[in-house]
Amino acid sequence: MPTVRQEIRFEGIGTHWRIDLFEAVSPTFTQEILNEIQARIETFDRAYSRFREDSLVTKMSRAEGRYQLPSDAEPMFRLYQELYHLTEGLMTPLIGNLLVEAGYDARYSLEPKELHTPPFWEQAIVFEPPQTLVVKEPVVIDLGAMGKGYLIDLVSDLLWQRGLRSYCIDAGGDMLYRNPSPEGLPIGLEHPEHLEQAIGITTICNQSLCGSAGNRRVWGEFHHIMNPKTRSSPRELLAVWTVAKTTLLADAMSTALFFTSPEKLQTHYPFEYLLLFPNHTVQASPRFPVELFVPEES
Amino acid sequence: MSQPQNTPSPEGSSKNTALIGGVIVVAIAVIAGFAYGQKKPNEAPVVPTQDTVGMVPLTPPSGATNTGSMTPPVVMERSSSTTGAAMTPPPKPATDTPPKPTGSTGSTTKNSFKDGTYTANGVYKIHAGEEEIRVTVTLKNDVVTATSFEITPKFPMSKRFIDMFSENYKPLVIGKKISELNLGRVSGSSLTPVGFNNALEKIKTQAGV
Repeated sequence: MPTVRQEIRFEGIGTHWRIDLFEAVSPTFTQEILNEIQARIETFDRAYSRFREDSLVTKMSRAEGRYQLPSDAEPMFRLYQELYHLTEGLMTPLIGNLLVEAGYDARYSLEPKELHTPPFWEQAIVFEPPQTLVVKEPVVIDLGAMGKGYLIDLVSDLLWQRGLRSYCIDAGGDMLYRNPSPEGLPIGLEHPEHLEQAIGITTICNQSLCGSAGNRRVWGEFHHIMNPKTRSSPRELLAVWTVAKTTLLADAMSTALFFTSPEKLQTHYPFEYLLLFPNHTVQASPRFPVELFVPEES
Repeated sequence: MSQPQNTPSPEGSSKNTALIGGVIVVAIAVIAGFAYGQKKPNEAPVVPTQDTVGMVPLTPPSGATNTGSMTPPVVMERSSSTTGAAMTPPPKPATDTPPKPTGSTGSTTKNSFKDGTYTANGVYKIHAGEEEIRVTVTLKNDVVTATSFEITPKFPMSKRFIDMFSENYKPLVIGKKISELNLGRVSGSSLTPVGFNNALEKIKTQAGV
């Protein structure tokens, strides 16, 4: 396990960030880079958050029109487009409408109203690369399926540009780890039903790890992932973990796995996965780097 | 395809042999099923899991039905040479825990099988030659509580089928206290936003919970 030389912690996009630097830096540098990171996160949030009055996404939810997206939009919107088609519409950025109706709105009212299947992609939006979104009818866009992962990559780019080479960015349990030397980083896989326990240890090196489960943001019969066709939250999986070269991809896959099979996704994207089922059995891709805790005879 | 006897014989040793044999056959049959049979992408193979109570199922999964003239040849061998004498678990199990038989040795009062961890090697033939699979099974009170397997394929073609097998292989997991593990980090679902938690608390208060 690499030694942490500098710890940076703060709140951002509604979750707890912990950035560990494994190389020595001065306090001045630490403060400068913290400012830059927070500014970058703020820019991202101001564009893409459906929870802010002042965001671009909130504007798009109120009025049709041609909108210019930030210059970082393309990788995210392209991946959403591909996965929309691959999951036959089950993974959609237009899920915001349904989340809001279920109660997960900007005010966290958590009061479900009447539920409606969100519009088809083509019905509501047209993405014109590199950064134009035509909104044909007002719709609540939610980029939560991969937004945090993408933001982690963007923060990593920032650290890299400032000359850092050895660090781990952890935003609420999704993480990216860089190290020029082949030193693995062990990470516990949190048991979704017993948060003080882990079901295994994953060790990554120059990879990203994302986890998804329906245990935290829960209200009534819903959790934070919703199926637009059934208008309910999927229960077939207890938790999912993914490992990929980018956090954008790992995050996107961790949501996609609630809607389609790992085999189908692996024909299009390079990533590894671990599925945890409600009966506590797991299914992992052969190259998912994990030491699982299995029952011993006693 | 020949199947081993599944009626337990009076001696514990050949029962244990039959059990391990049974597990090997199932494992090999599943791999052979992928290799030779009709592959149905969403079909989960039957492998020993914690759901198996009592005897490990010895019938091959339906995916192993064969088309044409290709019968999956199943050849079973044991890593330790057995001459029909008492079979003790091989000295090097795949897991690090050595088997601990309960009760006095040779007792067959409650369990059909002695609690413990058993490992055996099996061999299966493919066109190009033979592949070896090593299966470990842990038994407690006649229930398979844990299984694992190892294969290092000799032939490139095997790898794809072994990958399919391992992807569908579903071990049971348990939790260990994070505070007792030497870990700097944990990954799980995203922490709930503060506003969300507050809202939940408000609802609980209103509901008088």
